[in-house]
Amino acid sequence: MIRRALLTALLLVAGYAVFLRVVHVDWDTTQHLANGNRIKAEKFIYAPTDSFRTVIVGSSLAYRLNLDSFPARTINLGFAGRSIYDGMELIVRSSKRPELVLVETNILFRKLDQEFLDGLFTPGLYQLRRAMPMMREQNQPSGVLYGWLHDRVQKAEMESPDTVDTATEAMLSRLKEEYAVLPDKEEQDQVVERLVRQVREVEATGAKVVFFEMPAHPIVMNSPLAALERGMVRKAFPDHAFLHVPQGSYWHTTDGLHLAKGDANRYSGWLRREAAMH
Amino acid sequence: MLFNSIPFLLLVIPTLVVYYLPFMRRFQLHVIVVASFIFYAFNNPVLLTLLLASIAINIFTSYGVIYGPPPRRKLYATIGVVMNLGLLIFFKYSPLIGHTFFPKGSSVGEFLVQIPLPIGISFFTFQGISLLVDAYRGKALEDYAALSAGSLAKHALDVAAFKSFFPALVAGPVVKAHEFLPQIRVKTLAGIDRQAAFTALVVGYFLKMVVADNMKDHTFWLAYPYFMEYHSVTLIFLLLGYSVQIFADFAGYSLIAIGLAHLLGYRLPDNFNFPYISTTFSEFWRRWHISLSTFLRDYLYIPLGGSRKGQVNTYRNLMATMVLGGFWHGAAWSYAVWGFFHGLMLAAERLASDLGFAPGKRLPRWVHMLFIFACVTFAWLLFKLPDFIDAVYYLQAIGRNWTGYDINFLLAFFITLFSVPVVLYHAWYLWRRNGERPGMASVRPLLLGAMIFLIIVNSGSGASFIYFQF
Repeated sequence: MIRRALLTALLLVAGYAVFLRVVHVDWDTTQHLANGNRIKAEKFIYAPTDSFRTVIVGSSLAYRLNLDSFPARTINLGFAGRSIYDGMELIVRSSKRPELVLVETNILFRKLDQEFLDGLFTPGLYQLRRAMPMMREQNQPSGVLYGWLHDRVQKAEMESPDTVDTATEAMLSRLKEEYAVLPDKEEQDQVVERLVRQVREVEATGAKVVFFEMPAHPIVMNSPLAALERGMVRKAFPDHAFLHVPQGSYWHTTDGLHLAKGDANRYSGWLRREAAMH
Repeated sequence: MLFNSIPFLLLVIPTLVVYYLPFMRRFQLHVIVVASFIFYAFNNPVLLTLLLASIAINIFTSYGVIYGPPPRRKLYATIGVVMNLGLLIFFKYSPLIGHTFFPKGSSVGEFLVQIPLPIGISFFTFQGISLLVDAYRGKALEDYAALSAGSLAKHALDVAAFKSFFPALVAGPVVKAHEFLPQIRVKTLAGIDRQAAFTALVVGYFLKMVVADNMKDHTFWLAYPYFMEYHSVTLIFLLLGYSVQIFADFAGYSLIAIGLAHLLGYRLPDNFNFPYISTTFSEFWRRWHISLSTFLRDYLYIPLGGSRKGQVNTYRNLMATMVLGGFWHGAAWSYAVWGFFHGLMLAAERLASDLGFAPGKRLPRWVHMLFIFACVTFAWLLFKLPDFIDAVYYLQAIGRNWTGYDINFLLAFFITLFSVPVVLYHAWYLWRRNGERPGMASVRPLLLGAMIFLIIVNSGSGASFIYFQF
């Protein structure tokens, strides 16, 4: 029985490898946010060294940027539920050499997720995934199946990108409370120290670093915490470019923080034009 | 250390090699003890001192019970049980006592709240209690006592191996002394039940890494305040998903433990027997976490009087056993409420049976099955949301959110997809219940092969086991 089970597994592995070679899986296979994060991270770390000219690092806010607006050699390392430090650490640990790194400044006080990074670089598994693409997150049969089905359904009913606010009053009042609280001086100093160190490490790879701020609801944009974060970056990096949110526009969000799809597309276009100047 | 981690592989492979070397036969228990200590100390070496203290307590008190003068045996057993419970209460329940009985900011309260919960303490203290009670009762330990011939050193080694046995150390099954100690003897490679070990390991890793680890990323949203904005249908899907996840996670862990024990030549008791096909609550508790429910039955319910002292006392004993069983899971009142709910259901079933009343007797078996599954699933809410008020909010959201929100089809799709193996797993049991069917033997290796394939290409992100927190 053991021999037959192992043989079956071997045949299935070989069959799936052939399937992935024959059927070029070019559809989105994301199953959930954490899985989407790993797919992006693996796509980045297993690509050849000079694959990407521009790298965007950020949180779930930047996650929504539409890459169709950017040149082909751009990757968005905006990770849902995670921080800019994860993206910057990936650049350094994977020895990539991008020319431009766009760093989101909205969520500075979230820490680097060591477990996420260690999971990507686990000795043995890292090399296996490099040699066998079928073991990568992007090629999980469950995601491939869902993406294929979803593609068919979506083609049938092309949805138009939304530009409406879906944030409820309760969400906004919770955000207002959260963004009114400022971390103590010690924590602020630690964050600046970490940010400076990581930006220097990224720059040591030969990249130019430009900061940008994702738009959000005015309650967030005009909050004490957002002002503090802007001030911290300006003070720590007086010589770096900082792309501020264009004035005079209202940005629709789904929850006060994250842009609605239509406005994410609009902002992506603006960011691409600004980034092209650097 | 997690069973599904590279460091574990690096521990278990050399352990097995050394364990079966011909010239190491005399030292097999030493190998188990050393490997278990490394396993336990890997993430937090300081905690090893607690395990060592617990082992020492049980070595000396159980030695007194087995080999001491008969008039003193009860005293040794009592001291040992009290010390085991003392350790458990101090480390597990101090934060709850601090929160509940001391005002915020008081020095005693602050001290109690800060006490860390050592991993696996609920399991290895219960094993210690079983050792003392079994020794006192002389339950199946006569042969063992004769073999040990009163040697304290031999007894210490046996107890250390029993208490620290790494396959079952941190999340069970709760192995009783009378199940483990009589198995201590020299093991050989030829004695391994290879098929049983292989099947348990493959099914266990599949349930954990493919079903539970993938499901956990979808049931992530079953947390306050995220669930407040979901459609009621999505909320029901999330609850179903968690029910599947907790089964796959814990049954998976238990099967891996059983498979590893097989590799070392030991048989651990089954911990799950297809619980979601149960048609009554009492059947559910004969099929779910069997090693704990039999422990509670043998060492709590029966000593309390069981069903021997009249109907009212039987209901009381059932309720007390289940509330304490709920508390065993965690130091939060919601676990007690969960235990109370199950106790109430068990008592109600008993009452109905005593009165000769059989509700829904004419309904088909699957309706009973669905009813029990639905009740058990709703009760899991108290596990996922240990803050009782969050569970109330969740139920309110299910009642309220039928309009104004969209059904999340992505979640529904994946929860359904990853539930399929657990549904098929139970269906497989129902199918073969009436004996082996033609073709079954040829299907089994194909299924195991498919599971290995999915472990390779479709595992979720590695995560701790849910029962580690208990």
